[in-house]
Amino acid sequence: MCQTAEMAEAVALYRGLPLYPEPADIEPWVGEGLRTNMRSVFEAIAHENPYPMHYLDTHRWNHMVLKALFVGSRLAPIEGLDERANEELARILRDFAHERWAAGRPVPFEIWRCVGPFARGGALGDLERVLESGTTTEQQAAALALAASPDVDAKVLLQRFPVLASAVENGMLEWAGVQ
Amino acid sequence: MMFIDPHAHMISRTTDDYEAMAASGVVAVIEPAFWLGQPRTNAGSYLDYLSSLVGFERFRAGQFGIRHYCTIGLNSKEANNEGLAEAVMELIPRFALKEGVVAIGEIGYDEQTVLEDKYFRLQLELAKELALPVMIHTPHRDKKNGTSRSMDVCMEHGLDPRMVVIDHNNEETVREVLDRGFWAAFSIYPSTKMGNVRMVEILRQYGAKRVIVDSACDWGISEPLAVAKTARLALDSGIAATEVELACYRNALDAYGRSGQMMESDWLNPMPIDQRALFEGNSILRGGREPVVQEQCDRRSMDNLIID
Repeated sequence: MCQTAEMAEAVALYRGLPLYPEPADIEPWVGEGLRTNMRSVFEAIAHENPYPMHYLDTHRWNHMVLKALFVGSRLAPIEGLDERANEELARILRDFAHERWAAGRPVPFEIWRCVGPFARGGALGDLERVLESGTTTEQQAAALALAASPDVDAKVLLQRFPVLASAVENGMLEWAGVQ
Repeated sequence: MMFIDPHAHMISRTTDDYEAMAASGVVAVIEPAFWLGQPRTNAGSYLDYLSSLVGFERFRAGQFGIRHYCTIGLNSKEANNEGLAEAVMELIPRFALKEGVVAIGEIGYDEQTVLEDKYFRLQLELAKELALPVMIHTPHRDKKNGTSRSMDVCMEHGLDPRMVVIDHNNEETVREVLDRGFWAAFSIYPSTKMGNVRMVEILRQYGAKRVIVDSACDWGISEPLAVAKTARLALDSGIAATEVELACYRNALDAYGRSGQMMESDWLNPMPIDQRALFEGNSILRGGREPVVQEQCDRRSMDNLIID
């Protein structure tokens, strides 16, 4: 069935991932699905599906998040996005942002959600750049990322943007509201 | 000016594209073996694919006055299916020394997994043994790190950087690739890889020594005239013609010519186009069509010069 599936069948098969017995054994097949160029198939695995957060190792998890950016998918519907944030993913996403800036292309605002908890040093410089020259949405994302940073310098930087800082502080600004 | 497009997946392109490429000055293309947009599930379909690269596709290109070469390899995406990968690795040596095969490629990393690493290294050893150049596909994701790692592994296996083309570069990777003595190729591919305005800036900043321009056109939204358009834009932007010729023609010939399978005389003294020719009994003509080469095709043209 997997070998001969048309697109809708593939979507249906992957939507069922959390229900199958021996979930760890089907990981290679999930890997195939994540390499697809068909966005609907990719999202059947990545979005609103608890399988990846429970069974993908960190490396494959990180590449799933990156792939979402490359196929134009949102990150917010990925289950476990915050819980499985990690230092390596934050580094790769910053490299990605630099590549996009060098190309004169926009950087998806959602990447800062995964960078925030590990933002220190150069990452703060990236967030400062977004706060100074980004769109409103991008600025909101950067402010939320700074608020999640463990670095005291992040708090200092955020205070330079008092409107955003207070919106984060009093809970008026949350990831769910950034569109 | 003559051009070579040293990275073009022509089996996904139409005859219109071949005509437009020929009209724009492309004299030769190199078609790297890659995946088809979805994974092959058995080695048989891989065998037929590689066979079509050295067979019907070469014939088809020739019908439009373009010389067709290819590279043979197991791509990084399909390296993740171990059963398939093992079977395909058995096929690679059967194709690698055929006429018109100018490199092992495109190989390298996609997700940078353990299996990708294994088959990348095995194929580097094969290229070394066969004294063939290598075309390296650098990953879209975690690109900078993946590009550095690809070069590290080549050096670890004792490859000469002058025999290795690192493809799909951008502003973030070019300096290291050139500093380490490898060929630096750039795919002018809308939206996801390089645009040609950016490419002209790279030429201005780094010069054309060891720089190669290609289209990487395939089944996605891509541009088979990318090499010709980039060349014209570079000339219009004041880049010296000698530099443009290096990046859009001569360097590709120099790099892949090291296979001994590609030389200028192939297209400077070509066989005349004869669409009455057959390949294993098959013609490119359908429905009793008259075998004439059309005038320049108007569906594709050199208008709309900018690719971004």
